[in-house]
Amino acid sequence: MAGKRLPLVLALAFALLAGACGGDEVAETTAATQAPATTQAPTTTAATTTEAAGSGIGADGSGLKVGVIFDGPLLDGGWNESHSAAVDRVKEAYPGIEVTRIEGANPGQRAQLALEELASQGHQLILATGSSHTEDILTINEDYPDSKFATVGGTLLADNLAQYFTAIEEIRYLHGMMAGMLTETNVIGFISGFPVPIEVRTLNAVALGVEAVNPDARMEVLWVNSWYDPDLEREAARTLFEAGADVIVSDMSSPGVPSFADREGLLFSSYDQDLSDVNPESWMGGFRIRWDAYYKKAVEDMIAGVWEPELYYGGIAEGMLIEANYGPAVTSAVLEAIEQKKEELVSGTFEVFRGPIADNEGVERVADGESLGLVEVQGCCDWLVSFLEGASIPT
Amino acid sequence: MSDLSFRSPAGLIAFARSLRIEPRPRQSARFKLALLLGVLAGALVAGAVLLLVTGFEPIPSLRLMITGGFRSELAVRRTLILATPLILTGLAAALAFKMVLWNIGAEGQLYLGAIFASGIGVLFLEGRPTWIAVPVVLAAGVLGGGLLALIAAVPRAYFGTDEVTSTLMLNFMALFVMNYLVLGSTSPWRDLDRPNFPTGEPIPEVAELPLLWGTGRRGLHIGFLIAVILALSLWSAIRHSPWGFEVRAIGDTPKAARYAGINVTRKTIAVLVLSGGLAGLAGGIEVSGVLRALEPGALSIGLGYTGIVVAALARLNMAAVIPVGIVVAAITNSGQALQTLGIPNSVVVAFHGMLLLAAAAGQFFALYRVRVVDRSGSGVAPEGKAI
Repeated sequence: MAGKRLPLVLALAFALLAGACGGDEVAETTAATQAPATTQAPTTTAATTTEAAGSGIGADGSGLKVGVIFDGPLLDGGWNESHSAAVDRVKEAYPGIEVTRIEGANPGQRAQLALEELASQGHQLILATGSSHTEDILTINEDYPDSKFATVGGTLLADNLAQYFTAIEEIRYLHGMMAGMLTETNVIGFISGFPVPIEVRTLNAVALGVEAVNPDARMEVLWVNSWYDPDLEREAARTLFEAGADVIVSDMSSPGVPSFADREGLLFSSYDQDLSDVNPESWMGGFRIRWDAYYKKAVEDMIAGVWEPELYYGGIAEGMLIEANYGPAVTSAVLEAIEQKKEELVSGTFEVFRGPIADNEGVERVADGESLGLVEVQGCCDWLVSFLEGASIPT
Repeated sequence: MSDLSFRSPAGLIAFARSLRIEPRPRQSARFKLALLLGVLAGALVAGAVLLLVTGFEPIPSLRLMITGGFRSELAVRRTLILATPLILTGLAAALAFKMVLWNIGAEGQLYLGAIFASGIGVLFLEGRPTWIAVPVVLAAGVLGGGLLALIAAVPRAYFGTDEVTSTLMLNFMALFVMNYLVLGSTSPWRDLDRPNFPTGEPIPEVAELPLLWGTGRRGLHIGFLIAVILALSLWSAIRHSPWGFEVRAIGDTPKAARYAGINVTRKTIAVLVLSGGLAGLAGGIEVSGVLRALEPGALSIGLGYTGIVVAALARLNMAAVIPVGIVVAAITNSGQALQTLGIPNSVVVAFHGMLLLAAAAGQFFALYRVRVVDRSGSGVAPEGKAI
């Protein structure tokens, strides 16, 4: 009698397994139709291809095999999709390159398998787009000296391992300024997933931007303890709204915050999206990450035979961050102020984390006139700037 | 029968109602083998069609999928490394299912085992000798998984609470705790020196499992041997020991077992906790043998849920869990290589799912048969409606 439950339990296990393996149906079907195009043999046009000295790779990238691994589904509407689109743009710019993508390469064995597979098939440039792929590369890289690896967000380098990341604090400082100028209640909300260094750094940048233009305003901060949860994000927006916020800078990308902002007439910004068409009234402005700023550089360096294990940190000046369209609420006066600050950022006369910066417990974190180095800035922050008085990082 | 027409929905429903699922009389080994081969062949053909429809060459893909996990020394090692947790979670499921306890919580029990193992490792084992550190880490894994199972076991044993629901819910609790420890807090489990994105704090070297074959993080650790020994011991215990007899007796007819003087309540708790302990051990082994830190992204890949599939394919036979675990690991591992042929991960996963589902369906049809009965006659009782 009870034995009949086995098929039921098994069906449940399959359902949960499908969930664990990630990937929604929309993403799957699109990926299925898209993938063959990316792996077709490169159309090498020998006549027009001029070979650069030493590398054996043509100027259009012919002869270069690029492998890319993702720690989830390719088309996730967020992080992976952004990287994949960047690879598409590289392929457009260098039609000769051959691109192989491997999805679902979770850190650990799966990522190592994917990296070994790509390297043993002779991919000379291998990009690992997951946030914790560094250990996996360092496990296998010495066996494949002919492959150059690059991964995102770490600071450890090796003979054939580079690291790249983007200086989101630059664009978020500008969004802090915008929020500070546009708020009427003088309360600005901030929503993010987890209080990890990169997110605390982003929060600090927003706070510094607000403080620069509107020192009378204050910020309310919420961590939703998930990277994607429409319900939690909407409830977070509601909580901030009830605390008086009329502008929300959100580092999330689900429809949770936008739908609430639409309903209550708030202004918002989200993470690596342009929602100016989707939520025209409530959209303040945002940014897009162009990972191809590094990917193109890496391909160029491979062509020229000068690829190096560098620590690449790209911001607005490098074209790794571009502005999304601005919403109608953003006045020309605000745009002018942003534009001016952006020019200072690009020219290097202004840096977000240039001292003096003290934390909200009175400790000096960046000395007057100093700025954080490439490694230090990526380790930042486990402290909050003085403007976030009374706030603390959950532990 | 002749009045049944599939052209109308009513005809279809009438036909569906005339189907009966009933236990099959005992079948010969030859029938079972033929059935298994039949469904596997069917699954391969269906997979080939799936590949053709999505625009890929079926034959090279199928060949790579079957041989990929064994094509080199490193590939074999990697297959056995992945097989280790699958054998253990397979045992966890098989043991509980034997007693008709539907523990589908191996996933969460594995997480909690990993949390306990890494926590003990990071906090207490620095500078201890290996012969103390390794057993302590593994014991911590068992303890973690066992404790999580205990939460579901006590209400199940005393109040008959449905363990499917409770063990399932506890999976998510364990997942959230694991994410919180590494992603959401500055706990000892998290490596605070890492830039940008958080990762787990490495356990001390002394707590890493000794290797049997190969070196470094790609070496096959003694965890594999432990899993195999446990599988064989459980197989033997179930068949030959009084304890195993009681487990089987309760699984067959709980009431009769009670009359026979078996303490079903105590046994329920013991078996569920042991089942959780096996899954927890898998978590401890993943931490100390492979990942060397609590890594949520690397651990939450469905090792526990796959264990249920492994147990079902092995027909709850503890010894059969070993080869089934190895084969499932090999097929899973070849997925990465398949993608380099241009096949998207979703198609690869769908293909794996078809194979496993077909094999599981084969097991079902080995145990039950579907019969068409004539409802127009007066001989069919009303309970025939339930399908």
